[in-house]
Amino acid sequence: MENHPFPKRRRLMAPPPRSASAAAAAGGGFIPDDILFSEILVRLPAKCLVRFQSVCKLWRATIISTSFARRHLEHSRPRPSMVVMPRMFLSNPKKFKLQGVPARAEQGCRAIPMFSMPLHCDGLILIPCVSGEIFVCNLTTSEFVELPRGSHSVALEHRVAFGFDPWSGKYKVARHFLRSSHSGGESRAGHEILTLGDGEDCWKWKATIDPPYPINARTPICLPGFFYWSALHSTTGHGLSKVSSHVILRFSLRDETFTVHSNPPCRGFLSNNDMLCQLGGKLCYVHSASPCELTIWLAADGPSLAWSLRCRIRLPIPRQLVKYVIRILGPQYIRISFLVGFPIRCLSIFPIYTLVSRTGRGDVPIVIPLRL
Amino acid sequence: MASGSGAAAAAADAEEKESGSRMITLTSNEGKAFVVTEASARQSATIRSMVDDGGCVDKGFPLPNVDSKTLARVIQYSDEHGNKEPHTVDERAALAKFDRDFIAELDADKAFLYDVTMAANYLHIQGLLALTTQCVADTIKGKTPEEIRTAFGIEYDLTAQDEKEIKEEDTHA
Repeated sequence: MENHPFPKRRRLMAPPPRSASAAAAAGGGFIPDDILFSEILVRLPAKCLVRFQSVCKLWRATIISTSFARRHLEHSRPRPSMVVMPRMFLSNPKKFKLQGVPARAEQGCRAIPMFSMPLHCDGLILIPCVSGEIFVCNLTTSEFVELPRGSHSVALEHRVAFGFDPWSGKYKVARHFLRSSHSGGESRAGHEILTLGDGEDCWKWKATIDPPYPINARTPICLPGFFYWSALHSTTGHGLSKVSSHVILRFSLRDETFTVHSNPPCRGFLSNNDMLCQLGGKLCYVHSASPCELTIWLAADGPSLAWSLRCRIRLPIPRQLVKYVIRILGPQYIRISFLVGFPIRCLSIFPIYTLVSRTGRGDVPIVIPLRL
Repeated sequence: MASGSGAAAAAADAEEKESGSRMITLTSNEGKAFVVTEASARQSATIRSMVDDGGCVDKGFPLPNVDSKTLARVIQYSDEHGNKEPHTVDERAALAKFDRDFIAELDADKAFLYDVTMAANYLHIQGLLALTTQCVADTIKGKTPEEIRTAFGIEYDLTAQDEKEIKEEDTHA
C-alpha cells in the first residue's frame, strides 16, 4: 500500500515506455487518450472539433458523443457569447432572412416567415414562426432544420418552449395550441412536446396532458427541467370592469405534468408592464406599477415556487417599453437594462439605459446609472 | 469582547502557523525526496485529501509515477501558487506573468510538457492542468487532421462510409 498510495489513478500515469528520441520521432511524445479527450479536446473551439472528426475512428466517436458535448459545454460556459439575429426584409414583407445563417438549399428555404421571440439553449436556437413553422439552428455546425408541424391551433397567437431536460439528457420543445370546438362551446387548450435527438421517439410531437388553464401568448421561461407558462386562471366582470387573473403553470419535463402556481403577491395579473424572465437560474417576475418603479421577485427552488421580493428600484428615468434585461452581477448586485424614450420631432428613439442596483435586506437599493 | 475576539484571532493564527509551517516530503520515482510546505503540497487535491484524512504526513508521500525532473517543475508551480495568496492587482499580475513564463518554457519542450500535464492530472493540480492542457490545445488548434495523426502517431482508420457521413454533415456548414 505504501508504495502505491494512489492505486486508482495509477493507470493514467503508465505511459508506454519511451525514450526522448522516440518521443521526438513521434513529433512530441505521448499523452494518454483520457487526458487528451477529457482535458485537451474539450478546450478546442467547436469549429476545430468538426474538422478533427476526420482524424480517426476513436476521435470521431468521442467528438460526436453526448458526454463529450456536455463536457465541452461546461468548458465553454465561462466564456460568454452573444448571438445577434438581424432580421432583414426581403421583397416579400412577411418573410425574413437571417444573416449569417445559411439555409439548406435542398429545402428551398431561403427565407423564414415572421417569428416571435427566438429561444436559445446551449448553442441551439429555436425560431418559432407566427405561422406555425418552427426552425432549429445549431450555431456550431450551421445545421438548420424545420421541425415537423404540430397540432393545428385555432388561435393565431401561440408560443413555444425550448430547453434542456437534465433527466433524459435531451433537448425538448413544447408548444401549446387551442383545439377547435365542435359543439360551439369553449375551445380547449392542448399541449405537446417534441424531443430532439436520435431515439425512436424523437422528432415527433407527443401529446401531454392538457394544461389546466389556457396558456397566454407570452414567451415561456425555460429553465433546466422545467418550462414556465403564464396562463389565464379566471375572468370576472365585463367590458371596462373586466378583471383577469393569471397563474403560472410549471411543466416538468421529468414527469410531463403541470403544477399550478400563483403570481407573486404584487400582482395577480401579468400585465403588459410586467415580465416573466429568469435571473441567475431562477424564475423571476419584474413588476412595474408605474414608469419609474420596478420590483423584482424571485421564486425559490422547490415544489412550492415561493416568491420573495429581491429588490425594489426607483428608476431615475421613466421606462418606455416594457422589456428588461436583467442579470446577476454578484451576490449583491444586479444589472438592469431597459428602454427609455425621447420624442425627437416626429421620431421616437429608444436608447438603452443600464443601471446597477444593489440588492439586500434594505428596501432602498443604490442605483448607479452606468450610461445613457 | 475585545480580548475574546483577540484570543480567537490568536488561536486561529496559531493554527494557521502550525499548518502553514508543516513540511511535507514528496518522493519521486527515482527515490529523490523533495521537502515542500504544506501550503504548496495542498495545491494537489490528491495530496490534500490524504493530508485531511489524517494520512501519512510524517512518512511523506511516495509518487511512483513522477520522475524527479517533472516533480521539481511541478513543485515550482505549486510553491508559487500555494505559498502566497495574491491580494493586490500587482501581485495578481506577477502571478499571471509567472504562469506565462512557466508555460512558455514548457512549450519549447513538448515531451516535457506532456510529462508535466500527466503529473498535474495525476496529482489533481487543477490550475496547472488547465495551464498545460490549454497550451496543448492551442498548439493543435490550427492543425489539419493529417498533422494531428502525425503529431500523435495515430493511424488513419476511417472507412469510406465514415468519410461520406462526415462530408454530408459538412455540407450543412
